[in-house]
Amino acid sequence: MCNRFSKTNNRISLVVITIVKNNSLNIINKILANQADQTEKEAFFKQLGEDAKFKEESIGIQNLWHLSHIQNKQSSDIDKKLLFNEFWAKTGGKKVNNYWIGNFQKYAAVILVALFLGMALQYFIPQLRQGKVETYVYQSEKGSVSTVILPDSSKVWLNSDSKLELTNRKGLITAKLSGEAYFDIKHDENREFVVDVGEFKIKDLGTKFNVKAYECDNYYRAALLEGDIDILNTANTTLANINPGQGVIYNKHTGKLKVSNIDTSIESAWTEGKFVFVKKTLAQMCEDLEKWYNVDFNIQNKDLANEQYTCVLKKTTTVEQMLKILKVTSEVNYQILSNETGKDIVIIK
Amino acid sequence: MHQKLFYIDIKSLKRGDKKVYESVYFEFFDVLYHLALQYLRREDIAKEVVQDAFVKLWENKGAIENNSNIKNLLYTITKNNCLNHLRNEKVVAKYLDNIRHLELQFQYDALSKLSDDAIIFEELQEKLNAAIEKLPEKIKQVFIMSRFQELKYREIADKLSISQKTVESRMSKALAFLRKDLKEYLPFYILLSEFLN
Repeated sequence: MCNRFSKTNNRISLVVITIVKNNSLNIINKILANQADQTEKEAFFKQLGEDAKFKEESIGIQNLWHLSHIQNKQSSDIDKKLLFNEFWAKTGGKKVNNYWIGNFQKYAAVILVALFLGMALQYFIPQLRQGKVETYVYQSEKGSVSTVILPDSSKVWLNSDSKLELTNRKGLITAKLSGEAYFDIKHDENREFVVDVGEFKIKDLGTKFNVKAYECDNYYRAALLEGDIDILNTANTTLANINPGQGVIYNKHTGKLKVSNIDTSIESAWTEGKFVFVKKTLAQMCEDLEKWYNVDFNIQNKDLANEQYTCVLKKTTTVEQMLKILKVTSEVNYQILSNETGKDIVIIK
Repeated sequence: MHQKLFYIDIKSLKRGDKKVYESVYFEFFDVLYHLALQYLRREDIAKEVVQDAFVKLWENKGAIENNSNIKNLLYTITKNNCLNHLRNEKVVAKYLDNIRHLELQFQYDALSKLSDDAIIFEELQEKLNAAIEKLPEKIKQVFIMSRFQELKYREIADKLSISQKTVESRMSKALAFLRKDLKEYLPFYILLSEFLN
């Protein structure tokens, strides 16, 4: 068709339009059949963004594509009997022995809600529908926050690069935490809720509290916003009872636990999409920022590393915007080394 | 395709009668599942989304009217669940993978253009079937192998001893014909007469 040149301009333009249409159809066709390569995909979506009519047309074809498939798929090899029984258990129509778990599954699918725009979330729900699974693992990747809602509407926020392992065993829910999480737990006489960070445990008595226990950090912290918590050692002996506004700081090197007053609004600020730093050294700030931005900070100027800052940063701020602010407010120079295979490195001079 | 008559005892449904839920579940699960699967492309999530639609039906059973169309309700809930899911996935992809984000946006736009009414949705399916029947034989053959038998273009080419390019071209023609036939139902703007002739 490409060789069909005609003498009149009109004819040429018609032929050209035809070729474009023909190619467009081929591309849509390939995209839908999942046989387009990266370049074709890019070209297609570019055109989609630029040409409203093309977009409408493509959407029409896509729907046609899907419908023609659904049409002839009136059955499936899915075990509907099994699924129905699960559905029925969820409705509470039938009491099942592992009711808590049954209900939990229902929420597992819908629990993960993006907290705010600009925050990505990722989650892993293991082995749904595999019968009696008693442990659930939730994980937030670097740069994302997820929330987990329990059947009794207790809620857990999971900060960037954190992992939560929930086990329900005979009225005792154990939450193994590595990383940072904010708990809003409903009090229930019939079950206990214990957060285990390895070195110590937090027994909840109906509360809002924040726990920060990243393995790479030197200190683990737990802060109480509302309610009542007990701090237990690994042998379940009560070490301290904490009141709202207080927290514990555990020094991993000395193994000592200290109760102190803590500004709790700072502890929970991350759940609202903010970093709050009050009199934090640049080095301490970078520790937190590394987890969020998935970069490595390298502070070459040691004086600068110990300089103290107080600031509030929105988490949607990019690392570059943050560095620009830093550059304006203090004598800081920076350089970003991009690293194809791993984390980018930010050098602060 | 003839319409199957399926009677639902609304009173028992409102009461939460297990037998009625079971029959509704078995009647509608597949079509809802395949709808979700086409747009979400993940079996586990599609199952979850449909399961959730039935749970929502259960939770709202008190509000069901005697003349409510249950199929329509389930269809609408499933469609909205799928849209919600795509929206969430889009937010994640936006920061990770631009192409994936655009793909999800494309899926989302297409699904949101589907009728909210299960009756129109069914009508469209019937029209589509009729249109497929009218396709030229060779084109129809390739289309059916691809869309009904789920064969890859490569596999179709091998089976029919034609080139993959020919398969692609026949599929493009099939899409053009079908879209022309269904222009009242699907967005259709650019005239393709030149191409079809």
